[in-house]
Amino acid sequence: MTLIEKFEKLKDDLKALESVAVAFSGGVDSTLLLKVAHDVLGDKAVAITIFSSLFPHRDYLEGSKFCSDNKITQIMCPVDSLKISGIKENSRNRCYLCKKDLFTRLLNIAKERNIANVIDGSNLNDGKEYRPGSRALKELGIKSPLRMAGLSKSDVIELSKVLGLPTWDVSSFACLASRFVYGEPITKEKLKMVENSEQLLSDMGFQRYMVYIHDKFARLEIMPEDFTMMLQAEARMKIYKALKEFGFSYVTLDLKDYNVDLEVEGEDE
Amino acid sequence: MLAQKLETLKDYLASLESVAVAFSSGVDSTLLLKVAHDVLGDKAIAVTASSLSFPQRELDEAKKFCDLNHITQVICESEELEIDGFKSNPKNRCYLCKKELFTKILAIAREHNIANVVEGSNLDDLGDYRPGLQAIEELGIKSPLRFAGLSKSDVRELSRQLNLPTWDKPSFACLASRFVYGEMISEEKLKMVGAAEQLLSEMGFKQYRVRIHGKLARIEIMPEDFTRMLQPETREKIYDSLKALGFSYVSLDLKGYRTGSMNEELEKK
Repeated sequence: MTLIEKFEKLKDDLKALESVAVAFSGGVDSTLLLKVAHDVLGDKAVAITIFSSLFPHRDYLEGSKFCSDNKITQIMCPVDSLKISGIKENSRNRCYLCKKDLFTRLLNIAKERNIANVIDGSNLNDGKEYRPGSRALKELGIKSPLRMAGLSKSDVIELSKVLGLPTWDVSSFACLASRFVYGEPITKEKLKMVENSEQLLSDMGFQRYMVYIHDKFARLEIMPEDFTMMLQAEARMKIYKALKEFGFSYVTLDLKDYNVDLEVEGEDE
Repeated sequence: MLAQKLETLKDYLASLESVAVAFSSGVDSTLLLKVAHDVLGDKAIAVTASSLSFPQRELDEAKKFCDLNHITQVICESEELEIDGFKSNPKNRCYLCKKELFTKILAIAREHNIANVVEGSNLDDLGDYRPGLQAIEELGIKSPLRFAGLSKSDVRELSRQLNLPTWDKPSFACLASRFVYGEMISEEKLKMVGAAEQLLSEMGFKQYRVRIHGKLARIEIMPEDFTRMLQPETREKIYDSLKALGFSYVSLDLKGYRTGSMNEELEKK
């Protein structure tokens, strides 16, 4: 199928759903889904956004701006994610537990508003690896129209570009819990440490970055082409001092080739 | 001034009449051994510990130095992992280890009818947190370099004047210093650290530490070596090798090489 054909299928599928609540994070996938749904269904397509300490604040701000710019109704759903059973202990099925809880809430909100469907922005690539979160969606009957239309990540980016969406070149930041290796307890303080650190890298002009946390140890993953920029004495010491202030004891740069992992790393790790 | 300190050192060693020098092949103990042997001749012997915390490379260098200078050397097996409490890496790890090791060296000295055991700590060693010095004091081990008021830079300068091969040798310290306090020390992990540092040595890096935090390697090198380490070929070789040695993550410390970095957590508490 060509991209145009996939796009047509996406629109047809959405039309058939009649009314949808889009689980909207502000990321590239759900932004495309929301835009197309709204174009097709008008006011019968609304956004629901989870407001949680697990999601970077900047994503949320950009998402809100997108909705108001496009006159799309956005329903905010504040959630204390750390209270969901199994999350702060960071168990292996963390994503399953979290998605199950969040999407159950979204389903209830949709029901209250007489919206027939809750849909999410998983694409074709998301179906390939171990994603316990996807299982939760399946169990709850949440539909993933991008995947149904056969759209891969690169299709999503291409289509976003064609539609003039601001998100087409936005990195996927995913849930901040993905910065914690399984078993590392997740706390508000540590989430703040990660978020502050990533905000700093963003402010300094880095495009792709993850700040992984191992207790008091920060492990920065950036693109190899940005190594030189990070290791200039001034930038390096700025990062080092700021992260120490945020609460880290050790600040390190991962030697792995981040490029290699881009294709396989995603929201669920 | 420096010449005066050297005279003080010689006079002091002469007054001791016979000495066993705790000899690691590092810059301090090499100078001490050389001067002691110049002053006391056969009444000065070297005792070198063979241990898991002490790389083969250093032991070989120690043997070579003694051979070349016709100095009697006794090799003493240290089994620090057998010491009660050592493996769990408590804050007084150095105390426990030095106490055991120097007790053995005292016994060797007695067997050889040697009156004193001396060791190579210098004036600067009084600064950082060094619980090992307490053990040395308790056992009546003498520190002639400190007695003569020699700082680290004095030791290097004197070594240079005496044409010792170690005058510009990077400081090295025991492999257990690569473990953060509380991190279990095991034979397996000591070998991982030893092999990782051997690789960096073979690749031509001069001053380096591979610190171990669980499965994480935190490499400390001089900032001027950063660019070299991050060249794709070098970086990938280091990454792949350390993964093969058993590390899960391989990262470069943004602050660079420093002594006592494992004490940084202690200082904050």
